[in-house]
Amino acid sequence: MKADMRVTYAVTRGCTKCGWCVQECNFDAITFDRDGAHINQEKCTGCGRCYDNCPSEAIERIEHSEA
Amino acid sequence: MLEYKATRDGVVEPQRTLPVESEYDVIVVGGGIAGVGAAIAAARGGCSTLVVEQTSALGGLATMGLVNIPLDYRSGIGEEMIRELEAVDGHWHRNSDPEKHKLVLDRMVTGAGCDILFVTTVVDSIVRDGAICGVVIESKSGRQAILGRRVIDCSGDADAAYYAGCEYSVGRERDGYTQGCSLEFRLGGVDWDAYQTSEFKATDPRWEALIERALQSGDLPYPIDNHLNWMTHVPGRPEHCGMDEVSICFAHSRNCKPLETRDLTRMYLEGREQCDILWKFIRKSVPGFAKSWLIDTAPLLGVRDSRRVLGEYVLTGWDVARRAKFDDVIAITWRGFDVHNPTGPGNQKWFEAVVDGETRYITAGLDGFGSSSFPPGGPDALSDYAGRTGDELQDERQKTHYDVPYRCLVPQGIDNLLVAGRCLSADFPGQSATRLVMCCNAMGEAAGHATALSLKHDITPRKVDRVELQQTLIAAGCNLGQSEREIPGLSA
Repeated sequence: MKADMRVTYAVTRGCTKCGWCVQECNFDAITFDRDGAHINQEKCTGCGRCYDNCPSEAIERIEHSEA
Repeated sequence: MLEYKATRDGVVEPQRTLPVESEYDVIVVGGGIAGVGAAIAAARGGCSTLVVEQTSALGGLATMGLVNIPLDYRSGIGEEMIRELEAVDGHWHRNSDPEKHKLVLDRMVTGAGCDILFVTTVVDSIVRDGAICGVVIESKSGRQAILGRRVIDCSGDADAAYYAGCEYSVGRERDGYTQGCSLEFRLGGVDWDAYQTSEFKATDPRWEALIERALQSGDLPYPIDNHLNWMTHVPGRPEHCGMDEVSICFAHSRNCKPLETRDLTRMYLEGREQCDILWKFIRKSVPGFAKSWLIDTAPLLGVRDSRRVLGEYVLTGWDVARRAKFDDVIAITWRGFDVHNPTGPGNQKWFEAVVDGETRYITAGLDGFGSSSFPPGGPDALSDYAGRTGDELQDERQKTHYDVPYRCLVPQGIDNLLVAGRCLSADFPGQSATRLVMCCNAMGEAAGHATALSLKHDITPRKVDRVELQQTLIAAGCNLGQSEREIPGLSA
């Protein structure tokens, strides 16, 4: 990853509501409700554990170039 | 050749002397994912160890069953296994390559110093003075005995415990039916990116509306299931080029009796017919699958539960719902209820219980709303262990794990025998939650270390000091939840 690249993660509509990402997150940044998982961007450290461990590949990795 | 005598009651088999094929400290019955954990742990504990496996590979449903989704905590030998898979590009997104997984397990188990007997079936247990001391096997080499100082039953069906005379239960209380059984299948030539980014996946991720339409149009002749159970993306293949490979859990037999060979045969026949219907339907109907082909159906039927041995403790659905902690924890898991409807389509992430004369439908958390088969009254009828419903329902899964206690691996009545894996001592809903790959592996690892300790101290596994066992497990890298709470008697 380039130094000027910031990465965030987002839950897509492909979420099957299994809840596994909640368990994987070390920073309590993911909550879960009837609609599925939600990532709290303020708590998210960008570690990517949810992305790596989502069995449905329903978490999207978004790269932001910082000008 | 023996002289058999036909009588009115059946054919009488004459008495015979079985050759003793070998003797071991520990015999592990079943080389599935629990047996692998048990064997490696026992061997590392200094025991001469044999794994007896009825198929031709290790890993059980995780490999031969194409259940390539090793979910739950990465801990101990399970963590090592995933690292080994990653090293050969055989794991991503909690999806594994079942073929690479076989070889990884071969190397891990033989590397730990264990012996293996493939294509060999345990057909009886040898019991003396209330303790198991060996098993009878049948194979190409005929009928033979193997003597062992300890036996760990990881057969899934609790075969060794059953032959030894242990008490057990099968299926749900109401009718004895087990969960529906699935034959998984793999498709190649899938355009994964097209599927992942399709409007279809975004709006109907579990294919429920699609299946409903297909039943009405006749594209699906009958409701094999009412949703896609799971689809995994097999790693280490060409990707982002329309040539991806997936493994699918969709086919289901119902009203199953997986301890009857005629019904097992029925399920294999039915499963392959269902897979034939399903893959052609998927190719026609699901974006990204238009050029896909059937690679294979699983050699091993996905039996989710059969015999559950009666142990020193019976893990219940209530324990799962409450996220129970036990002093003698030997494995932890996070999973909620997961019952593939025994008698009809759908998945039930809840269980029925009578509380103060009233029928309630208990779920472990919000995943209950993700059921595809609901109790009478629908989602609103679901409640947590404390009776909260609707928006008040608590998701205990988000707060903490629950424990599998050592006592669930210790059968009542017979000594020198432990069980691990899906045949643990649990009730029907409790077993449905603890049957996942990594939890079974963790139970096996605990059983392996427990037998090693029992041999070291020359005591029965029942008398193994749980603190010494827990210290051994933690030293071996197992997660017993020790970072979350203090386990009594364990110094930090």
